[in-house]
Amino acid sequence: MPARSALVVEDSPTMRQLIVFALQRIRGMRVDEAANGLEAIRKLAPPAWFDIILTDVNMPIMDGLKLIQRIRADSELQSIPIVVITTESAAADRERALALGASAYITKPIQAPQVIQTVRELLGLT
Amino acid sequence: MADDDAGEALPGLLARGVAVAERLVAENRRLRRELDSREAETRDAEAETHELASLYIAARQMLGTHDPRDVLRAVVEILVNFIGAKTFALYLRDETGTVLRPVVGHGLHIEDMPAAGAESTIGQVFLTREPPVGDDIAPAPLDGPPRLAVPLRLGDTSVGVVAVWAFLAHKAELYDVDRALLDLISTHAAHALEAARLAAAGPGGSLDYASVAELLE
Repeated sequence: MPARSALVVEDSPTMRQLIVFALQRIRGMRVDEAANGLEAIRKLAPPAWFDIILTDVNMPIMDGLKLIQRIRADSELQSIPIVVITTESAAADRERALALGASAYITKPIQAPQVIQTVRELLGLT
Repeated sequence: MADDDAGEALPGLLARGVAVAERLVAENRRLRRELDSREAETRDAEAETHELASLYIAARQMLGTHDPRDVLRAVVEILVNFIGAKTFALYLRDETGTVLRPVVGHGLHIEDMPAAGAESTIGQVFLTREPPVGDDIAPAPLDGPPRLAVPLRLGDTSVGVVAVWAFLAHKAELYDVDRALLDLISTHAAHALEAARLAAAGPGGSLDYASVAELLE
């Protein structure tokens, strides 16, 4: 299986670690982290490449919605699948994220198997 | 003569063919059952791995700092992001040891939350150190007893209580991992807070509302 890479964008270190741990259970997956949207944008600068991005919505400095906008407006990055992580009560954020081009969403509290399944489906891994 | 031999051989061939097919069908069923069993085992293993990872990360976040703010932040994050608590408060005993005062909360205005006395549900959990964890996690009114409360244990005593009034709407039940995380908070959060308090304030004093509130200012 070819190596894949994921970028986890989440300001909560606890949450971020849980998502990273889940992704590392996918064989060949390389995972990097960012604490907010701006840090993510910096990590996405060429020649860096990620096959998938998982992002929280509410973050300081640059939130997940702005990050999605930036990625979808960038011709080099716009094809990267984006998974949004939200709370069930934040339905408006979720809808807005999907409208902006998010590929899927996961609701908190997250379960590692759900993260793994969502990422596998989006990357076409079986 | 050859036609007669063929006529006699055909039923035998057919019978053997049917027998082989039946064996294959049976083997297919057996393999299907085995596959289902393996898939169930894999799901159980994934769930167990998730539980262990959650506990490890939660413990690391709570105990990996000497800043009381970070300890409280970790407890809040575990309750929100791992367990799915929506409305809750963390209480610590005051200097008399008989009244519990809210230190930090989520989904409520902490300054509006009254202190809890010994007669309250929160006070009883504090005194008895018995968490009344039931199966019902429907939201409870904020002006009444919490739906769930767990004592914060420090050695043989309690120093506070985590009280939860509501969980996220889509959370239907408390799972094993949730109960394990609540137990982790109950048995380790106070130790983490005490270690942070000692590191910040030096030896002496005790872990109570006033000493922690002072460090949070």
